[in-house]
Amino acid sequence: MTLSGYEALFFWIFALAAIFAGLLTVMARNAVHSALFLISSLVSVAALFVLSGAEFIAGVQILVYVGGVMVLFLFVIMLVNVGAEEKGSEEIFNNQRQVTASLIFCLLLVGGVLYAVSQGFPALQAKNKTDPLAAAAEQVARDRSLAKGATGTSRITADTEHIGNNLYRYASLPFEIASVLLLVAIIGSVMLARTLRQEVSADDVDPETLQEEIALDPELAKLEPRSE
Amino acid sequence: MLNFFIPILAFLFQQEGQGRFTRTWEAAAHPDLSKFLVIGALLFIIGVAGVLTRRNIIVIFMSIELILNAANLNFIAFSRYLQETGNVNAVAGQIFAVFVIVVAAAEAAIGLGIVIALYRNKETIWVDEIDLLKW
Amino acid sequence: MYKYIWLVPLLPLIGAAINGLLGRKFRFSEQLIGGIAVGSVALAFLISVAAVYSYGFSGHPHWPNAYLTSQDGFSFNWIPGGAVSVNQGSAARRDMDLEKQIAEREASMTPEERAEHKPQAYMTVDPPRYALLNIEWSYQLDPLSAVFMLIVTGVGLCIFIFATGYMHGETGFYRFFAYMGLFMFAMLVLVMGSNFLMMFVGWEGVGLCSYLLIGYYFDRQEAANASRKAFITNRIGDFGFALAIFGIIATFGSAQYTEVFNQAKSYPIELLGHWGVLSWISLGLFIGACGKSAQLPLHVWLPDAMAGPTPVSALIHAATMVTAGLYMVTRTNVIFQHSQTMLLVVALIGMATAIFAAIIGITQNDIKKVLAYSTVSQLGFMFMAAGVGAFVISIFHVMTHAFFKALMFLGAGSVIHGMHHEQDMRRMGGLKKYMPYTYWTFFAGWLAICGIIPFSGFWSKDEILWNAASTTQIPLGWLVWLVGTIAATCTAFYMTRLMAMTFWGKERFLEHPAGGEADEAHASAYDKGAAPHDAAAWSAGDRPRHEPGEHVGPVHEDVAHHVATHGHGAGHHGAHLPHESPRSMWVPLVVLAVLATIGGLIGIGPAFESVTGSKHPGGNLNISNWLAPIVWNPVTREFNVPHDASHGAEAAPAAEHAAPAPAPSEGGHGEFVATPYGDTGFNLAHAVDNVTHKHSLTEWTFILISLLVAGIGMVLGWLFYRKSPRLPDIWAQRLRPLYAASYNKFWVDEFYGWAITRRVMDAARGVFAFDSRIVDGIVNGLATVSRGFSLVVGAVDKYFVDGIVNTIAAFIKRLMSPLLRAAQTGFTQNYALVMVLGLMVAVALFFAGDIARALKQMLGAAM
Repeated sequence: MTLSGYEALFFWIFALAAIFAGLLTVMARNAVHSALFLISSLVSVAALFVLSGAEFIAGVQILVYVGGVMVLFLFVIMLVNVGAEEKGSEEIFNNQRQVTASLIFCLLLVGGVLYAVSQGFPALQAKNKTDPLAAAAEQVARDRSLAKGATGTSRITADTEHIGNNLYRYASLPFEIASVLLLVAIIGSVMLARTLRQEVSADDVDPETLQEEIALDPELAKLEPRSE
Repeated sequence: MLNFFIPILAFLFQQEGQGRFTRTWEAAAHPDLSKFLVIGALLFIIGVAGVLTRRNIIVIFMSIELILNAANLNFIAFSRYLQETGNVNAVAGQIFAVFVIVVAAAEAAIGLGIVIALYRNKETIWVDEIDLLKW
Repeated sequence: MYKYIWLVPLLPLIGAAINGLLGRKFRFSEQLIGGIAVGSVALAFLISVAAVYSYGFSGHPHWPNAYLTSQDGFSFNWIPGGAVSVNQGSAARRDMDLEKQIAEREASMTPEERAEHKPQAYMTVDPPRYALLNIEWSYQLDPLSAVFMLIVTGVGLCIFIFATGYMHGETGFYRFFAYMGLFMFAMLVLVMGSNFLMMFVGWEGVGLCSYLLIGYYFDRQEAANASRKAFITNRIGDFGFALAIFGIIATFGSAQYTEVFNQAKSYPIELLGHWGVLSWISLGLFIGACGKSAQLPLHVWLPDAMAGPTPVSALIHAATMVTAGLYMVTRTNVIFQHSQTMLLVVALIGMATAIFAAIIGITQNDIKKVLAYSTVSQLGFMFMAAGVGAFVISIFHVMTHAFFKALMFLGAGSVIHGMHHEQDMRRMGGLKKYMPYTYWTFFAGWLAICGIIPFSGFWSKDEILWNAASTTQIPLGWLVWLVGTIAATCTAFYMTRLMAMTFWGKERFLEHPAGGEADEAHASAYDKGAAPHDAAAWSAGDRPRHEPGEHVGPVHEDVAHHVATHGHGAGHHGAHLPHESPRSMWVPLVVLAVLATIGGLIGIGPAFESVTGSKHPGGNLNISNWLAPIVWNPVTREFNVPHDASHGAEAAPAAEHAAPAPAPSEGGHGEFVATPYGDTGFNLAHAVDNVTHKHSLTEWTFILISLLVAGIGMVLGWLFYRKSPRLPDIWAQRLRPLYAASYNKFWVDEFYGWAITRRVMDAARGVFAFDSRIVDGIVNGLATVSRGFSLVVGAVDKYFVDGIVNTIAAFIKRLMSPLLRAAQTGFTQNYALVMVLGLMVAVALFFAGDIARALKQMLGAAM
């Protein structure tokens, strides 16, 4: 999958952007800044997905990850974090020991990964019979044979089709399970985020705790439990 | 000290045949699977560092998203690589990536719900103030 | 009619049961209770009369043998015993060839019987003998039991009728008659039983009823103490009796009279100084008789028993219960006559008791106590008769004594009733004109007890003294006669004293009013136990408890009757004048007086042969003829036959034996018979005979002597208590020691209290101290030791074991606690870091080989 030409250039741009954004995510003082940097990192990674030929995943990433999850993050930051930065000189990094330990770990991991990649990849390459450049040229040729898009600037690839075929044919069980997982997540998140009043109204507080809470906040007793 | 690192770096970046710079340029001009993996690894490491060091719980969650994203990148890169090397199951990587995104979304939802509930009870977002498990 | 004798004990029992169980619950009226009681006894009496008549006077085939109801089917298999080892007296049996008899009996058993009753193997020196012990409940009608049946039911009937009048107004009326009926039942079982165990049942039963009736006024301390004393003293005698029964069963293998006596009569006689098994049995029997019949030394209960109501004293302690001892001795006269030593003992104790009680009776002031000591003395006479071998005469005296003593007790009861429950003779006097019926009937009894011809007492007492003088069965007969004569003199003296103080002379009760406040207070205080019993104080009597000022005496429903008997309503000042008793009370007195007067005529002795024409006139009606078959004759070694053997085929061959060998008790009549008892020393009758050379003259001499001493006693009594009333005090001063001894009853009670009661209580206290200090001390000590041990163990556990455990735990805690606590920071990111480190370690381990190679390469390149 050797990229070349402009692909290589954009690869490097987006790769470095992703890393830089990620670094800043971790190091930003303001949580909103962190979120925005994370968004840019995610978008960069989506671009890398496109360069890897996984357009569908790139789209899903932008739509779901960025458009859904990060917006959710921003909403939560709004709910939770608004007053946190007023103080200004709060420490953002936890104690020294933690930072030191993680840095050491990270450096070790970096060294290990680089070594492994550089040692292992040629071995992996050696297993392939095909010449990478020749394979890339073939791939280019194949891409040219695809139909063009409506504006004429891009080709319509078959990636989504492939994913669809495989997802619904070979991965249908995980698909269903994933949908159940999402259902559970919806219910769980709704339930987790309820206030006490909402719980009392829904008659979801057990009597002992209800008495204790009424002792603390007498207005709870007035709430009518909604019954069928 | 430097005597120690330079050979390591040289050793890491070595390539047979051509001169050192040429080989490096060649490697850079034609980013391969290995580059993708390295990028992914770096993103992973940054995310882990963020999880372990930040005080703000929201930022910790965002670091977790970084980690997941790095894993996704890994999957996609290998999917493309295997596609080109003729593996029939190449698209499995992308399917896996789909599920990772699904799980990440679900986990983000639940996790942020927990954060909201925690914030309501403890009125704080700094994790070092939430030490209820402390003996 | 004799077939129905089993009804005789049953009817009073039914009457008692009805009265006792239903009397209070259904609130029977006094008439009903009295009617049931009297009716049951009257029916029993009628049946007894009819039975005795049909048995002895109408040619009954059984006469003179005993009739057992088992012969007609009434026999209840009471104790089916099985084989009993008969191993006592084996030496004697060997002499008699009893083995042959037993072998014959065995041979006569059917094979089934023999198979059933296997002999048990015993380790005895002699080969084991066994007998089939089968104790049944059946009644026996023979001359002796007939006499007692008639006495018990007849005199009992009179007393019952009297009691309905005497106990009028008592709240426990039903209870009294229930107990009396129960007593009748027990007494009749005693006299009608066919074996020793039935006698024992009756024995205990009358003892029980005596206890219940003496303690009738159970809320009074005096009565409660007296009833207990009676029962316990009785019980001592019962112990001897029980041992004797065991001996009888072990020796003879049976408890039935017929069986035992048939065997016993063949045993050799044990002469004076030779003590064998029959002497042991006789000793046990006599101890029982002493307890029941109040002989020395077990006589102490009878005077105290006067705390019961007067009818009780009359029935139980004069006529019937105390004579049970006599019944038993006479019933077992076979066994007694086999032991010369025991006969002597019986005679001597009877003699001693007679004089002892007579002396005490002279100084007593309570009318009932005088009569009680008189009873003891007369019982002594009866035992004297039995001891010298005159068993028939002892039973005759039982009968006459029952008549006149019951009469006198009832008379005393009438006096007490009329005097509003005053019992002290010092406050009576001149009652002759107030209570005529009582007086004249008492007069008859007085003459009878003094022994004046032709009253009943004379016949029996004279015969006793004559037999004592002429006995050839025991030595010292002359001593018995002498002491008996002195006792008779004393009897006459104190009875005359009683008459004088009670009925003659001036009315002392007008000066010392009866039922005064102080006396009542004293009586109440004594009941509560506050005041000690002062012999010199006015006696408390048998009246029920009263608070001072309360009306004393029974409630009189008939006020008109009350006034009428007083005769004069005016002059009625606070103190009540004595009055005659109601008809229910004096009619039995009259009946008994008639019996006391003419009842002795059935015992006219051989001394009057010249007048009556035969030795024992009257045929079967004569007591000697009637009772002869139950007395064993040691000369013939058989039971006697009636002297006028005019009926029965069995009598004829026996008469041949009777003629040449008369009983030794009548040995003085013309012939000097050599008895198996050997030479018994000086014989008074023989001595007199040698002087007079005519036997009838000898007898008349003795009769005149006894009449003379009776007369002397009566004259002295009149002299002391009518003519010169200062004489008693003068003589009391002169004979001060004797007077004090007599007044204090020879200090027997005090001696028993010191020697026995208090020593037993000391022993009890000692045993209690031992138990509470030593035994409990041991137990408590063990408990303390256990507690100490548990303390030690606890300390070891607490300090040593727990110490070790705690040290180890503390050590571990000090070691690990900081480490573990350090790891629990509560800080999530620490946990995440640890997870990441762990992941790293895992990966490193996975790629351990590759990492090592790479490091080597790197370092190799670096060098």
